[in-house]
Amino acid sequence: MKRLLRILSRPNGLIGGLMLGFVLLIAATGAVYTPYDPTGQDYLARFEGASATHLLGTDMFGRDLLSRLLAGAGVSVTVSFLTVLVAVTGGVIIGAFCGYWRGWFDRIVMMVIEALMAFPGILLALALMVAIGPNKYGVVLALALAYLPSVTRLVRGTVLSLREKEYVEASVALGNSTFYTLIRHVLPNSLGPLIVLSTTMFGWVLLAESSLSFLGLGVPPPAPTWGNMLAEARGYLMRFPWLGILPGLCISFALLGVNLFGDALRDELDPRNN
Amino acid sequence: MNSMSSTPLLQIRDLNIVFPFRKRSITAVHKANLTIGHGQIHAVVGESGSGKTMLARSVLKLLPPPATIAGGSVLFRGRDLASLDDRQMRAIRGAEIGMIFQEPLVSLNPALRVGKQLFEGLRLHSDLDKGEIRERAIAMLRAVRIPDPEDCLKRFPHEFSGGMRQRIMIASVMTLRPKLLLADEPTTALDAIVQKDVLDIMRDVVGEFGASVMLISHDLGLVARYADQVTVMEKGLIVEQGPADEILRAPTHPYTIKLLASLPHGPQEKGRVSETAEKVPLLTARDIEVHYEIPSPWPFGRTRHKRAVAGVSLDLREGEMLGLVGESGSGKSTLGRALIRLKNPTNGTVSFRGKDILGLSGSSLRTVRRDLQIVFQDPYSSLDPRMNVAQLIAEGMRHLPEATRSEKHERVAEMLDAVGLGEIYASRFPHELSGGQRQRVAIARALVTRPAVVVADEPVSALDVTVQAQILTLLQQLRERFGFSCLFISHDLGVVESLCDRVLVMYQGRIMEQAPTSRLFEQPHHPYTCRLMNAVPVLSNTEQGYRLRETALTAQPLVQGDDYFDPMTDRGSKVRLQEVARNHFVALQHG
Repeated sequence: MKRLLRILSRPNGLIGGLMLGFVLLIAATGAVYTPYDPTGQDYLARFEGASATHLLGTDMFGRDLLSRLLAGAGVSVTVSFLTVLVAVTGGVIIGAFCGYWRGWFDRIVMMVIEALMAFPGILLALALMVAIGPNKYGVVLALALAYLPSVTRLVRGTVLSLREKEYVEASVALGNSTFYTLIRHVLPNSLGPLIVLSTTMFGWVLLAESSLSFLGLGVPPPAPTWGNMLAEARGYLMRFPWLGILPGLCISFALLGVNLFGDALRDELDPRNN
Repeated sequence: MNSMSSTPLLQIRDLNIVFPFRKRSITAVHKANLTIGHGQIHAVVGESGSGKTMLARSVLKLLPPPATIAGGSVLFRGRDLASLDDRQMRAIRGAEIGMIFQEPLVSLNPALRVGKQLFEGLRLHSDLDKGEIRERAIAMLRAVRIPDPEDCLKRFPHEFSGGMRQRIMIASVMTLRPKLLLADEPTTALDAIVQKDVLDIMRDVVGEFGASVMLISHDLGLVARYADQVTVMEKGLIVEQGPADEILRAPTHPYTIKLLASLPHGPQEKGRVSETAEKVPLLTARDIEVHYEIPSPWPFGRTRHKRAVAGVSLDLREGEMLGLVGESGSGKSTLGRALIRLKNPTNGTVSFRGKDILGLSGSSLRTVRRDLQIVFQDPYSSLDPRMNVAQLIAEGMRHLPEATRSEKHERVAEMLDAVGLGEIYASRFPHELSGGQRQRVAIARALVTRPAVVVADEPVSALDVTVQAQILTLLQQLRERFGFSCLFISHDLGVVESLCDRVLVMYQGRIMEQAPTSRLFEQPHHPYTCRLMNAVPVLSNTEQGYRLRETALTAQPLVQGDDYFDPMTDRGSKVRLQEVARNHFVALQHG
């Protein structure tokens, strides 16, 4: 708690924290109260601009945009957070193990990881989605697997360089177990780049989810997510730009919040910056 | 030009260099005055942060931003460099003032052949044709004693050792026949023997062309050997200046006196040697070999091995300070780590208090580790940056189950006190400490478990001279108080002489000579030991002030039929240690 307050006392932490808090609030409550039914269609009110009845206008099926954005926040944010969480957890475990012990296990795992990296992440996710079938947790699993290699590579790289540091050797000389040394001395010191990657990844995932939706493999319609709203708006961008701009703004807003907060978190966790 | 003989080559007048920051600017050099005459070697001496590098760089107007010259003038051959624009300045850099940096590896471009880099300057600053440029470069390489200059031109920098690279660097700077050479710690990264070679060559080449040198250094021994004039700097101020021999004979400023007093002051009182020589060995190693794997470029290919330690036996006795000297790459650090199982030896045995430790694993290994500790060379990387001092020191006690929390807390406070840091340091983080303070924390961490053996791997070579002296004194005090045995690894013969009871000389993974300290320094036998000792400039305190002690030791003659072992020529052949006097062993060829 004291940590959190200290993060919020930094300018980027405060701004990022407020933005992120707002997004989380919407994500948690958006689906509960919306002005209209987010999936309810009204063919008499298609492509309407902002007005008193529809605060942010309507889309091609006459669905209320504000309601859809509010409802979509929950899905988008959950999917992104879960994906990043799974990818980072998996990547840290595999990467730390490979980097610290090296040897044949590392060689084989890294060959597989590098093979995975040869595919564009989205292609990999696509293939996985076809196998799993479209639903929310399928998206999480598919995207997490697609982004796992980059986390693994990053963690392995930093661990590889940190294990040669003399303070790691000193820990071994003090009689500490390998596991303790890894948890206490190696991983905390690889946190900086990891946090930067995770926050950036959060943005990739939000967009990747929209790409999957676009190809009909993401969270299935008519359930709204910021990603599939952006995708659906594509055909109407020239005439009705707000259809794309509004979900785009939401994504940017969430992304900026996460990144600012992530930076503050990284600085806070590093004693050299205090 | 006509007044050349009367105007000095370089004149720095009331020079101020500042780092202008928004809140307040920091002065790096304050009102510096310095004159270098023709054909002089002028040394600028000081510890890190004294501003000596800034002073040198200001001559080329190559200050690292945001540092700027904030007053005073730099006159080169009577011309004020401040009045010159960038283009005129470029004409002076290289052609008239050359610079040699500390790291030859980074100051030569690794992607270009040596020849190309040598020709570059001449093409830029002279109108010689291709053939002449080549001839000039070859002549210069010959002058710096590069064996095969023609071949050297075709090679890449990484194919040469550090010393050779620094010679190439000297050659590339001197091809332009500059009038002034700025040498910023040119040999700090090099070993003693190589250092002597490089500096001798530099002095000769510079003398041949009548150029002057501004030699930046922290090593007073070097200064005594090579410099005509000395400027001593402290925290941006010039505190003393004058002819080298005069300053060494009768230093006046307290800082100069302190610097000189910080030098290791010769052998310690005798008598201790025989005392420890009879004691039981605490840590015994027999025929230790450590191999490094060089992975094959092919998957599943055969890995090759490099022998970092090639068969070493030694005894570390109870309460003894055993010195281990050797140049970089001799395997001394690897040996130190192998003795306490931070590296697993490929062959050989290590026993501690008579019990084998190589077979241990799991908790029994962890228990024995409490008794075998290490202090590393670089205090900047040996402390976890994310832990505070109290946490760092307390970590050593994780495996003392009997100690309660408050006992551990007390022990931390006690250790902090023992290493001369107050309790206020407990909550500091490593980045808030100076190099010397960090090394104190590292020592406290190693000693908190009251180990029987401490391996000190070059514990002071990353520190300034005055701090170095403090840490060495501390180590001595702690050894008397806690009574541990210490393997003191160092490349600095002066430090070893003043600190250790016995010394091992290591070269190419093997022990060349082993003797009680005073005996080794008075009567070295092996040719390698002699070479090593001759290379190190030692200042000794005599009645007439500090004097450079130059030695020309030669190997002692052997009984007929015996030959000294030379690892450079006898690769793979066997070696035997022969006792030439009591406790004095020398490596001979196995006959």
